[in-house]
Amino acid sequence: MAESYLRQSPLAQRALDTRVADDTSAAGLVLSERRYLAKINLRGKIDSAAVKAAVGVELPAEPNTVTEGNNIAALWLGPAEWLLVGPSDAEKGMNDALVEGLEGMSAGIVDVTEGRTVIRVAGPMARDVLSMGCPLDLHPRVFGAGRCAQSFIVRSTVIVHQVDDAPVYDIYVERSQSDYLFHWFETSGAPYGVAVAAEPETSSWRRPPRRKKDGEA
Amino acid sequence: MLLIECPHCGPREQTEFTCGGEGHIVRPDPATATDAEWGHYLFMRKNPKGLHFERWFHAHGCRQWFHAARSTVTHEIFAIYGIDEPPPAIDPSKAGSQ
Amino acid sequence: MSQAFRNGDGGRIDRGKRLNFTFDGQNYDGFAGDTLASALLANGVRLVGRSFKYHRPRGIVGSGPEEPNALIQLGVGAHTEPNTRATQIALFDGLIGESQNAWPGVGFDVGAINNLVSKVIPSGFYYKTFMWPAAAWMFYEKFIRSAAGLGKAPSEPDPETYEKRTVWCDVLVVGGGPAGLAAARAAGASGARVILADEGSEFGGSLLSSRDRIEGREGADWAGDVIDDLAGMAEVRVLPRTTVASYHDHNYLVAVERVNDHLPLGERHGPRQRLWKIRAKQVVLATGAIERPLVFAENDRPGVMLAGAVRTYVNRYGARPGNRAVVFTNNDSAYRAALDAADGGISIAAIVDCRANPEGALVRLVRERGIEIVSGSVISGVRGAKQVSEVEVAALNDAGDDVVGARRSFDCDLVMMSGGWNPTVHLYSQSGGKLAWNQELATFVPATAAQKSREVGAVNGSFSLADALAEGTRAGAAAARDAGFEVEGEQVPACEAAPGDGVLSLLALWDVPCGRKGAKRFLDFQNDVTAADVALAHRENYSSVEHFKRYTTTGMGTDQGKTSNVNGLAIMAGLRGVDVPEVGHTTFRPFYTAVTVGALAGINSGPELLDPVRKTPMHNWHETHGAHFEDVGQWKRPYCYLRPGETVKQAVDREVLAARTSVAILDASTLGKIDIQGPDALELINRVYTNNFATLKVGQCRYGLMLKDDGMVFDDGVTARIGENRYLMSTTTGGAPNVLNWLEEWLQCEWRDLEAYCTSVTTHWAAIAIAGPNSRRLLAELTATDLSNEAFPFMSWQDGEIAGIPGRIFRISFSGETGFEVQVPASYALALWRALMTAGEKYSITPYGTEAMHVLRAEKGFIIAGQDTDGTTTPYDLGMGWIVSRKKGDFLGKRGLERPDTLREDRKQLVGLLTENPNEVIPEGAHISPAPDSAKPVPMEGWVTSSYYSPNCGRSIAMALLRRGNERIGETVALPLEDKVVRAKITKPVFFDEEGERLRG
Ligand SMILES: [Zn+2]
Repeated sequence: MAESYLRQSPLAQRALDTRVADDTSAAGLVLSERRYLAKINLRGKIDSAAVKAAVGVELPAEPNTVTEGNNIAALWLGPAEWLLVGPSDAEKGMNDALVEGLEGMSAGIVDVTEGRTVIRVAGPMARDVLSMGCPLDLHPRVFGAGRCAQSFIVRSTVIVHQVDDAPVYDIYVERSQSDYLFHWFETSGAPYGVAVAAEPETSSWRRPPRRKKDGEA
Repeated sequence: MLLIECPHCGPREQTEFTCGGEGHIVRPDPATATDAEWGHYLFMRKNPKGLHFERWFHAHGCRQWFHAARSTVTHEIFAIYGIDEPPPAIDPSKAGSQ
Repeated sequence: MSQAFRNGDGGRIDRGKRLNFTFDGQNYDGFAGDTLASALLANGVRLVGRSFKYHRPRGIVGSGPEEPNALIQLGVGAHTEPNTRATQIALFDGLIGESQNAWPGVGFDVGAINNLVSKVIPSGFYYKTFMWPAAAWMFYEKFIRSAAGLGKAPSEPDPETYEKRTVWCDVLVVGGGPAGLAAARAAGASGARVILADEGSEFGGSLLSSRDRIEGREGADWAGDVIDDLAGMAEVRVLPRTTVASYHDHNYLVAVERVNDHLPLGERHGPRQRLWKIRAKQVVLATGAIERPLVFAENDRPGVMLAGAVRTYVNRYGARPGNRAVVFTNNDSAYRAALDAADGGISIAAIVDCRANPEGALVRLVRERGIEIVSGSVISGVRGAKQVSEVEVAALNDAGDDVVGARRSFDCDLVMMSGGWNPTVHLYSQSGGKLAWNQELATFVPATAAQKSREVGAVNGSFSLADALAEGTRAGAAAARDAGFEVEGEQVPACEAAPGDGVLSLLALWDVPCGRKGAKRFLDFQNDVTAADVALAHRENYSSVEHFKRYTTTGMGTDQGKTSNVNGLAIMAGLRGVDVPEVGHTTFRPFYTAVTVGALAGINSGPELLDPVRKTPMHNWHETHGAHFEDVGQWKRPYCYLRPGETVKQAVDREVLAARTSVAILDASTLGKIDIQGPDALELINRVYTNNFATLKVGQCRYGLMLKDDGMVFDDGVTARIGENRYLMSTTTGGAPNVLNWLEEWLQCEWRDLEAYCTSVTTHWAAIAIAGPNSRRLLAELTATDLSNEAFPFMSWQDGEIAGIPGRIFRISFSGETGFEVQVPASYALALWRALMTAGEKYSITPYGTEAMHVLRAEKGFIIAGQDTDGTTTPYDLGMGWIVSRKKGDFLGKRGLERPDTLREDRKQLVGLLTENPNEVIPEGAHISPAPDSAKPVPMEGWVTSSYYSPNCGRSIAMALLRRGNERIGETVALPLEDKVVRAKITKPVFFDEEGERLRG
């Protein structure tokens, strides 16, 4: 693992940590960056139990939903595709555990940690501001906490994950477009007041104890 | 703008999809196909007025291909079905076919 | 005389809130609740503009979106907006409006000379006169536009902001009159997600202009109560000042909410307008009806108004458009307007009715009031230049096609006309719904809906209040049910409507005779189209509906013919001797009323937000080190890095030389990267590349060319074998998403048995290319990996740690130099770049941009897919037959390459070009001609695909696709340019180090 001081998030230039508001309650839109979350893309004919044993989270069976376990969120991306999102610096451990645990399965396991960053979007106007660029029906009857969807915001492909009914959303965006999208959020939310919040805390990920395989002593 | 029922994600806006054109085009065996057959496979499309079986890709979504039976006159979508499924029986007159 | 035409009481204006405004430089005042039109009328202003073609004086005709005349240039400076209708502008304090078509003023107009020479500007004049000679149009158009005046676009950037939102709902109700309110309440009660939109600032529609009672209250109060009810329903969204402007496929509708337009500039907060993109499961259209003018002589005089509009001004605004009116009608509804006008203080001189024996409840009420009814008669003339002063009335003959007998005159300052009502079917028709002619109402009404919509109330031809409430209630409930909600026993509100409510007993009279020749009978006020123009169109055989419309310009103004279309069609039908439905109707197109460009654009304008900008992790470093950027797709890539005082060419030359003499680095992060895994990964790769990858070992890389199935080059790149069943494929920058989608399409649609999984890692890995004779030495200082030729041969890769960062090192080169490409997780890339720059100082390390990269590769003759190919180029055309495997099985494009057309020998083939003048750089895209001096169009045999100045060759170099190019090496060809003909010698497309010794060194 390289030294962390060498690392720079795609929104570093916006110096969000210097803009964190003490009180965000007056803002319609509250933004923060969730930097360096570990992200493993899983595709293929994958046994959910094996994933659970390897990293501690089951895969969601229902399309466009999220399961959580062991500080990992497993996002349904497609009929045989998931994104496993863990705390920062967990990608190597998660990747190795999956490669080992899914051995012999027809699978693609890819570390995509750096490909996207996450903009957390909260505040009373969060849903309305999202609707300014995103074509999804985000009404609570259709899309609530625990749901996710791939879609786009204006012209950026994104994954929308609703984290809380408050509402709070995590928006996964291509790192190269994240600066554009952040600027878009700030501009769209401006009439309603925009505040920057501190980066949400994440707990650490621990590899589950390995179960003995059949025949192993 | 169409509302398309992705078989996996449910109803989504057309802007999330790309249309792959006519469906059910069979790729001939390249070892035995004549030049005419290969040319037909590459270039010839029906472009009907009315009922059209076509394939769509949920590009900004689950990234899955599927088939749709759509009227090119009214844009009504009569059926959405799997990429490996044969076209369903639909009365072409309902789709404004001539 | 302030507001001399304002009644002391009555109406829905707030007389306690006085508002000042300016119209044509004159100060006036009005009240809160006024429109600009009602305030002008209350102040006695009658003349509000000049007509488009003849510049005739014009006054207010209507009271809503149908208004053809009162077009206002609203606001000043950057905030100005042309073509707004005074009838729809909510009055606010400080409003500034100007009449549009009337320089130097509405009172006297130089353009009015057109009126005197109108005989020389007949219908079709524009087409006949101005279309030939073509060049003259430029001159005429300028003249017409400045003389006619279509309003002025602001010359400054728009200071306002606009917002767009997507919203999904179960039931969208369009129109907030009695039918729409009833529908919204019935649907909303079910818990369905309901949107109710109305273009007005106040809900109630026709109730605001009437004195009908519903559920024991005044109609307008009932409307307010319904809105209060709806506001209490959590899932109902009520949108006032919101015009649903278009109806598209699958119940997709676009609405514009005027959030701030009704407020003084200082009181505006947030976006000026909001565009709603609505996806509704069910739609209820309660869009009402628009009254039809009658087409009689001099019917365009200021003071000739729609009867219903006068009723609205009196009842809703307490404003009198005149003091003494003559009513002219062919139906009962004008009687009601007359009664209300009389109650509002307008004396009714007479009701002129073309029907011989009008009867019915309303007619009886009028008779009881002692108002004279002149039946079987028409208005045959209107006098008064800038305002009506007198009308002439004549009896109709038995056939109804001429006037007979003595004329009578009536003094008046107002004419209230009614030719019947047209349902506002615009949205319904846009939805694809079919219209049918209703003989009794003499108009088109909805027949068969094409989408999930229901039409209720006046738009459905149901003009009575009771019908509107019943239809609305039932439709709202049914729509909610169809959207999946339960509705319990919906209740139709009880109403007490005035006698004769909804009864028209109409006698169609389309072209009102006057017994005089040359008297103008206008059907389209805004575009100055008269009944005579329709007759001319008919004589010249422009009698089909689409021809007639364009020939006469009927309905082509900013009002889109809201008052003129049916009259025009019916007059044409009469001339052709057929029924109106046989003439048909033109297509109703979006938008119902004009939508500002700002609302359509939203915030997505300007360089920052027009389109996503993609930046690499090193972007800010580039920015602070003189990068001159170019757009590659959405990416910003440094084209070159400018040093102080340097030109672009000097910078590029410097960078190219540095790569060949010492060491240079390129940010290659934008290249596409696809991770391919699975048991069939190799099989997939072998099927999409032309060459064989079966022999590629883990740790090796291979260049591959990808074809479409027709055999044409699609993309290229280097693929590395990462593991037993794992590959990393690279693509061109622009091709990355296309290639990934392409692989996905074949895997999902054709090769469903293959188990291979493709994942984009384009931006997970950032990439830096290191090129030049010192590249190995530099990299060795930062990594422990053995970089020697033996340990790390050309076209291999290894995991490694570089400057403390774990990544991958590839021994590949696009420059033709000894070179490496280093890939590291993106968030460490800037640190690596900096480390290379620091360590490279002693080698005068030079960052290079895309142009130097292009020059370097062109010197070597390396192609760029998409630049040197164009979708009609085969590998053989490129001289790359070596990369097409003849041994392996099927791959995409293999069979396509065997088609006779792809095998032709006279195809265009890639060659090099060396200009006779070594300093001449041919423009890319320049064509090669076998006969450059022949007459135009000059014959062509190919074109230049890449062209640069090569500092290493000390001359210009170019690549071109040239017919039979392979056979013609050594020949000289000619390239005709704009100002000269350039000659160049054909060579092989390699200009530097043909043997590739530097590459492998
Ligand atoms: Zn989908």
